[in-house]
Amino acid sequence: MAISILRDIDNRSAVGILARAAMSLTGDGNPEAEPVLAGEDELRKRLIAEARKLAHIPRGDDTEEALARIADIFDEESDRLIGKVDEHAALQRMAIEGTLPADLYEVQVAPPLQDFHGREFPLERDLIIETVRHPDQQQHFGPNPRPDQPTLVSLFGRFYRTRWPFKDFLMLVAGTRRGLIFDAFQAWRIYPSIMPIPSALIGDWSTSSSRNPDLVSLLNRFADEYGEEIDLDGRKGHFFLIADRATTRQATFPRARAGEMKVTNLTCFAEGGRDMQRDRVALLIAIDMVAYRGTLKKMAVDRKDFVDDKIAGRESKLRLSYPHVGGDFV
Amino acid sequence: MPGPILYSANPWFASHVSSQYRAGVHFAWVCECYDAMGAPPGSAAAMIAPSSSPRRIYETLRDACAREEGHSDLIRGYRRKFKSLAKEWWTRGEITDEQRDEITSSVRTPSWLMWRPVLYVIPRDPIERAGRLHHVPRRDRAAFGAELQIRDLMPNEFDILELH
Repeated sequence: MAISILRDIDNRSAVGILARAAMSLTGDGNPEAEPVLAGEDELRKRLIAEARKLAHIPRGDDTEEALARIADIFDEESDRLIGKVDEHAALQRMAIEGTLPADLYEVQVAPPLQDFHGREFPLERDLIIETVRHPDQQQHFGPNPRPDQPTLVSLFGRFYRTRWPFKDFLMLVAGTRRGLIFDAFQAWRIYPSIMPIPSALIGDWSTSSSRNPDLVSLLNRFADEYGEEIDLDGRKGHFFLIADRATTRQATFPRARAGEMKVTNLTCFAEGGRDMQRDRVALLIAIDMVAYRGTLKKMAVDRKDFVDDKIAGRESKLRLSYPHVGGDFV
Repeated sequence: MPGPILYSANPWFASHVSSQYRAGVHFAWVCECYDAMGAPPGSAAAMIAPSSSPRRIYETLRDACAREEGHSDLIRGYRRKFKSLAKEWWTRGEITDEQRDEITSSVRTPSWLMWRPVLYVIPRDPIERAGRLHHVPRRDRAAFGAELQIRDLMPNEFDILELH
């Protein structure tokens, strides 16, 4: 419904008048609500009077509901003046930059994680989704970082409490973003009772100051604990922030004994990165999966052990899209 | 005597918008105590309205997000406020069309994570000495107790806590 008083005012100015008028109705002393145009005070009074008429709100009805309804009318009118907004494109831009609220991502879990966890996978899947949707800490790499950094990669961390503090753990999930989809390629439980984490690395997790978390260093620390040394074209180690894809195919295990099982977990850049970077992989870690499985078995955390009701519930209420057959595995 | 710390409870989105679109300049409605409800009767802090108490705001947001309460008046109010702010900043030429759309589109999403509470913990002295601590006039306060605003709080002047 068009507000007639604004008919002779250009759209941009009218949007400002409406926005300031809407903010003035909440009465919270926001300085942004101050009138800026000559005669705006009087105009605002007339606007409010017209909105009352349109919404059949009697004069003198200053209840919160009535004022909220008038503010909504101003908001709808300014939306009309601005014109159609491509909300999907706006959210896509935020996803690319890594600024989209994490609970808006559709989480897809890579098949190797399902294969590794086998019949325990439903619990792990719920933990992965919950970690991404409600992280305590998160770290994102955007589309155009420095050449020595990954692109479109995200890490999420969440602390899970159980009935036994000894079994509490940090869940660390890493993967790539493609539009509004997050592909989880790595998910690790880090038990502080087994692998002490220097507080300098993650700060105080229980009252986290969430600026600039360094989850990459946490992943590096995990690789220090469970890592298996590999040789990547002359570079030895168990953690590589980025690496050439070609070299990963020739990775060797210099310390491996015959018959020993070694598993290398690799994550790759999502599409959308610069073409020259599509030949690179990110967060390459070489983990002794036998040792890691041994920790999971030793701790033996069952769904009912979790303090978090959503995880401990009989039925998972978490949404999930899987199996995921896309992605880029090495 | 006023304490050395000021507190401000806000949705995470407020801090995000300030960081992403306002060059790090935060607007904060601040309080001299975290929990006005727990202040001794008769004290200045006890005269602060519960609706302005950082603890009350923090807990209300936290509970609303945990229960995914679609009818939360507090979150509805924040949605309205950020839509209006984005449009106002756009009319002043302080943000682009795309940035305006990102803020207003975010507000319309079903995300709960963006409304989770964060607590600003602000050392009072440097702000007050610089004359940047504004006392809110009585007509804009919910009760008699003192309420304050900082309109140009910079990221290096405070810490942001999430209480897990």
